[in-house]
Amino acid sequence: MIATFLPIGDAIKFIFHSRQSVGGGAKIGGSELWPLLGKHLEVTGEALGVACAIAIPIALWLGHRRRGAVVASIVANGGRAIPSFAVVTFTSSYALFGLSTRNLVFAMVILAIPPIFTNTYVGIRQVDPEVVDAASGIGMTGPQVVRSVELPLALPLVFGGIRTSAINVVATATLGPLVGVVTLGDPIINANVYGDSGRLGGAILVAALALAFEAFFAGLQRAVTPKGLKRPPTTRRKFPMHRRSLATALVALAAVLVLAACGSSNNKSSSSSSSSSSNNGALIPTIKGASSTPTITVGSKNFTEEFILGNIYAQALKAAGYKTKTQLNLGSEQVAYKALKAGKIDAYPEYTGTMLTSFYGVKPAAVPKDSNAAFLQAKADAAKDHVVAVRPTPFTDSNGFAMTQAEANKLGVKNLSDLKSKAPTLTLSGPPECRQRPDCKLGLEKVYGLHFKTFIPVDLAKRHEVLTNGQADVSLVFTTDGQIKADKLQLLGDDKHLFPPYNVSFLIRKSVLKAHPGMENIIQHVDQGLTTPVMQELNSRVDLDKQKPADVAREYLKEDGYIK
Amino acid sequence: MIGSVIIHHRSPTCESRNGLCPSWIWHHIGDYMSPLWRHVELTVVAVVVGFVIAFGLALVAHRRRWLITPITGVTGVLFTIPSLALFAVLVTSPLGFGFVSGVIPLILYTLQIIFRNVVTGLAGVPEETRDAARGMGMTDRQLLWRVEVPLALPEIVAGVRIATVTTVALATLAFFAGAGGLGDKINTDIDFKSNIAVAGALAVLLAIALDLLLLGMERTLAPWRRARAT
Repeated sequence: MIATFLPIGDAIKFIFHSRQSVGGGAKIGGSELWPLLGKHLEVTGEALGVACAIAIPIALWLGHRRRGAVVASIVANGGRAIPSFAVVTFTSSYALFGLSTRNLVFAMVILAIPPIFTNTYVGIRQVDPEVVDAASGIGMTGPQVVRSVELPLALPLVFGGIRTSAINVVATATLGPLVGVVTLGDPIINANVYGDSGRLGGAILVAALALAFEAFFAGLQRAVTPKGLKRPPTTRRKFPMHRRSLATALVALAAVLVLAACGSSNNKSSSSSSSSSSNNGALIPTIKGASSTPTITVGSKNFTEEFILGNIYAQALKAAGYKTKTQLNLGSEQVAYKALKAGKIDAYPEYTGTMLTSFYGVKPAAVPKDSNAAFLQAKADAAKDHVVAVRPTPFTDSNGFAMTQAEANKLGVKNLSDLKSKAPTLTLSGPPECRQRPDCKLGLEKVYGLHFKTFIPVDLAKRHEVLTNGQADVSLVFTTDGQIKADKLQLLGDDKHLFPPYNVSFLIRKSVLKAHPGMENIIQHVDQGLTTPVMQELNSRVDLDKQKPADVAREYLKEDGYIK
Repeated sequence: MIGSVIIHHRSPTCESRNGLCPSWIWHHIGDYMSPLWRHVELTVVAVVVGFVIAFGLALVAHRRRWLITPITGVTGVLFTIPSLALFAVLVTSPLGFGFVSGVIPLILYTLQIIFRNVVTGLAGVPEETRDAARGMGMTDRQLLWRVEVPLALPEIVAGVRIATVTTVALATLAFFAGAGGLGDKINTDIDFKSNIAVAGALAVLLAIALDLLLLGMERTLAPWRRARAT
């Protein structure tokens, strides 16, 4: 019964046998999962070890001196109130340890300390003072009392704390792929590569791992409990002190604010502006009778360029008189396209290259290099799904490879083929799957004959940072990234046409277009100004100036003269 | 009419360096209100539904004590499974992305904490008190609602408070199930420190506010404890 509800069978197959990824090119599942498990265990073990090394000695000392009850309670409750997701992303954004996994481990240590500290402290404090007096009475020194009397009696609680932390840390490690650490959370977080069964398979593995940790530490806790003390294991996540949660939560907040203040950097902004990019714009015409047609729901995927485009199209349609609604955070292309076909949204912007490779089973190498040919092929395939692909944007947001301008000048490199003799001394960086993708490292090898010294896999979000930090010489970027300009990077010319065209086509369900025949014209009208430099500028306004995509879309329509 | 998009020459700013920028935070704090409200909805629905289920289970187990071990075991297993895994299972199911897929795991996580505290609270009522109540001619039902539950109230509220604070923190991951909340805001720009700091601080503030509210409710519901309150 459950199998009809969930693709369990396929998920189990994913765990035991490797297969092709959703987009093709990469191998996933089966034996490919071992490195993920290895990384998961590695960061979990490191974080637990460091947390124990920090928390236990301090708790022993405070407990032995019978001091610090307030500190213990603050740590206990503060630890519960702080969201792990915020801690992980915040510490990683500082990149204290460069791009290594230690940024994640550092966050996990912060999250692992409270339960271990509190339980150890409470364990020591619970030791009967008369027993301690008796130990001192027979001539034991302070350290001897701790070692031979207090610690053994507190051990069950100490292990209870480690057990709680272990479970939390295993759970937190699943967030690793968000900050560039490829753990078992990868199939869950990157479902557009792994598919539904991969996501479910990943979920099963992560759950099994957590339960195994729980069982292991429960056994350990029982094993270390002195014979005279055998009693039911202490319960998890219920710290013995919960009276002061309010005061302590306040302290936790104060800590967050202090942390924030410490990291605050100066804020001098000197953005001189000059105009360029001329494009003939004309006011969006109003469509007669548009207001009496059904509401159009415009969707988008979940990154900057898609947010901006979704907003531009929704606002343009609104200006033409249509009733519009937006649903702009649909996730990967798989999710967005599914939502479109199911009628949950009526239209959304998609890249021609992505359509062909992700939806219609075209191998990346087989995608036409000419942007119009690629579009026509995608349009024909879309028609089979009752989806109309509108003529694409002038800009293309392709994959590309970049270097810092300084290094490109030094090496005298303009195009990718100029790298031929230099590659063996240089480091390449890209997302993990880059190694196996024909439009990434494989393509560089086959089409350009470039064999780099080493390859560093990083999360896509860090694609510019690796260059500015000097950790890689060449990195995968997107051609419309605003950071290319801001970080003084040089985009290397694709002179042998490795990359397929990625122009954006607005996909509309056929029935929706029938009900709103004027829609297509409006989209093509506002597409005119979307050249590559303009799209780069709009992305910069969101990524670098941190403006809202909706505001940037309105600015575009205004500056180009489509609305007043 | 001829227009053109202005292409700026940018020099690095606090924002472009993804720093903590007080002026940006000041101007954008309003954008966080609707995710904050969604966060409140997720937390309140999860804790209320979780409380109803856990309280019901605890009442049953209070009379049939052999049930305590299996219920604690099952809720304990649920509690151990990482939330990301549960969200992943639910979005793969026909429920798909949305509020329901986000809130169900949050409900499941509250069960163990609340169940255990209610059972402990009810069990902690002194036997003499029960005898006295029976001696006054109370039925089992009257005994439960007029004596045992009121006396267990501090323990019960303590459980709900822990569950609430924990849920606020966990709900930052509900965006994986498409349920929105403050985590969704963090996820829109996980490299921008101002963004993470604002969303994270709001989550902590929300935990404090709800904790305060529950404390206030306890004081109102159990005024007799006020005199002894520390």
